Amino acid sequence: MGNYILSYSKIAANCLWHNGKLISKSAETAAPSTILEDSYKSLNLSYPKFFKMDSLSKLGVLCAEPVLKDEPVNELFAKEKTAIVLSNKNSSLQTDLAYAKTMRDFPSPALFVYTLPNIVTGEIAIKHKITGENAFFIEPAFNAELLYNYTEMLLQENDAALCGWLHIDEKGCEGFLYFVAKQPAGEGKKSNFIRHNPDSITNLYIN
Amino acid sequence: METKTLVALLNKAFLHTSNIISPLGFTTLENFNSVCEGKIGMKNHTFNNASYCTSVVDTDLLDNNFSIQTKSNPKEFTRLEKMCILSVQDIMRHSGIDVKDKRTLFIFSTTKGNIDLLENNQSNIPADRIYLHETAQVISTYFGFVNKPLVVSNACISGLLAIIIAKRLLADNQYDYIIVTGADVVSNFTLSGFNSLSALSSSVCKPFDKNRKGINLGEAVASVLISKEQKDNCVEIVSGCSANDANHISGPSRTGEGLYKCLQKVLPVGFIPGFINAHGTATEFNDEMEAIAFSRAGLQDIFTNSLKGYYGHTLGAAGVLESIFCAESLKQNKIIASAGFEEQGTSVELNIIKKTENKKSTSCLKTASGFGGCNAAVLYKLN
Amino acid sequence: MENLIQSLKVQIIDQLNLTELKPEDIDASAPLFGEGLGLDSIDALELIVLLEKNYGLKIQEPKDAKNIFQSVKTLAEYISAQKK
Repeated sequence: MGNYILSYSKIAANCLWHNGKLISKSAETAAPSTILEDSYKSLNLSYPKFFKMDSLSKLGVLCAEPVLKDEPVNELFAKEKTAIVLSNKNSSLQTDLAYAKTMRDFPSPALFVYTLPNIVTGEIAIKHKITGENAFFIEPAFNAELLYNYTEMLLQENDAALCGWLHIDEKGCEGFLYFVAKQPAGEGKKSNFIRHNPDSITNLYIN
Repeated sequence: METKTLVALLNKAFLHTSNIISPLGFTTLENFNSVCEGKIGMKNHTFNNASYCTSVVDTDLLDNNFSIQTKSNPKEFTRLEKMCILSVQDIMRHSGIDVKDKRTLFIFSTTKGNIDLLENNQSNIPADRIYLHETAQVISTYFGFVNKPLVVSNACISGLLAIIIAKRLLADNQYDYIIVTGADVVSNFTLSGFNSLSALSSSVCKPFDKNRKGINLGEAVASVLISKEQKDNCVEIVSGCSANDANHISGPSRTGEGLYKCLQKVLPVGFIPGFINAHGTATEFNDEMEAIAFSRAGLQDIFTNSLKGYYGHTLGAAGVLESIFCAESLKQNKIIASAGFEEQGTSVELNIIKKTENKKSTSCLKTASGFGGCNAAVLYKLN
Repeated sequence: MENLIQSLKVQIIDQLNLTELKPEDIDASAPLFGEGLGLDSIDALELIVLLEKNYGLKIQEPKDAKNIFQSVKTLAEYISAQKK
């Protein structure tokens, strides 16, 4: 048996990729906000709430979109039995700093609500109606072993998990999300899926 | 022994020695006794020229205790780190565990860590201590833990989630001993933020009460040792889970969807816990949501309290601190009054505990909810 | 009043990050909350900040906000009334 990665996406450098295919490409010197907006347009999203989100939430929602809309994911998995397991290094630091700037004179409630790393989990959950387990881990660097271990434990009692790493800092943004599930029914589809283990997760992340 | 029973036995996890650092004491015993005597941590404190009703640890008391107990320089650590080190030190003194053991893990739960570094000029403290993992590592390094700490930051369910994660890791046989520490400090950052949301009460908060006007922020560090060892009179973590409302990022589901889902998962069919320690933050929406969720699960008549009337909302520490109180209540045959409660204030009437008194319970339910639509629940049972 | 209404539309779009909207998309009499623009509780709090930041007006009770923020028109009327 075993668990499989059914779909994955990345925002790295100035591009958005889904299952290894280029979805969006921004100018090489593009600012993170431009990369995120270009990705939004390339995905043909119509979601006004997107523009209220902070960068971390935008990054997560954009990476989640092609993965969760991907045929094997969308058709096969019960959203109430799907977990969301995310991680990063900075928590919500970029937004914390933005909020802190407003603190002295006119503290912004719209910024403050984003000063927690798991708000991105909430935004993904809201958009896709995913009501399963949540966990957000803070790690010094991308940790495939941690994500693998915890997800495998969750999959003993849950059907699937959206996992990954969402990092924003002053230099740029980096997102990597993937959908893991117990082997779905249907022999034909199995060949597209990647075995869930730390090595394969790392390979997808670095390539 | 039947395989299923054996597996179930091997999967058990128990709460052992614990510590709480708060305005109500620097040990679990001090805190429990203070609360039983009806003492509360909230007072009016000035932050940034404004007065807030908050529960904060006395700085001089903290630094003196820290200097004496650790022989380290208080200036080398942040407020949060000092509280954490004192807390974990108390655990280490009473646990006999070996830090160099690869089978020992430190789990750190916090929402904002050293966020006060953004506002104070603490030039002795390196800037990278703003990173939650750096903070956890400083504490971990202080004690010489061999494994990298695991840092959980999932809004106000962090502490309870950390305990659930510990149980899962133990059941998976990845570790033998896990120290879970939940921590957060009061800061201008969080005060101004919650104030901008109109979520703060200017007086002592009143969970579940008709006249509740919002939260008080509180700071605390709470630590507990978790392992598979069974001892008499220790408390088992029977079951736990989390779930998302998928409704709004800062307001709970009006029908308590996520919390109700957790209750269905952690409570065996027909099981009645001895009491419930709710999240009970004293906001209009949280307390109402919890009442609805409890009622949907048929728990509206169970003795229920919130501890936030004593400690305020301690964010990342809440789930651990309040779980320790659950355990102590079970072990000492007590139910604790829900401080601040006078008159029913939720659309569904709950059985709110009005007086601290002796009562034997063998199990209790602990719940938590947080921004981002997250919810968690744990069932505890006396061994 | 018309200038104020127009100015408020621009400020609201900016303060609430309603990036995909232009001032002409907002009907001054349409409800801001519920239907209409479909703003939520956080938006309401940001509008309270906007009033204070841009007009020096402080709403004492968040519950009064419901009437003041009913539409762009009622907001403009409130601001005009305070200036007298």
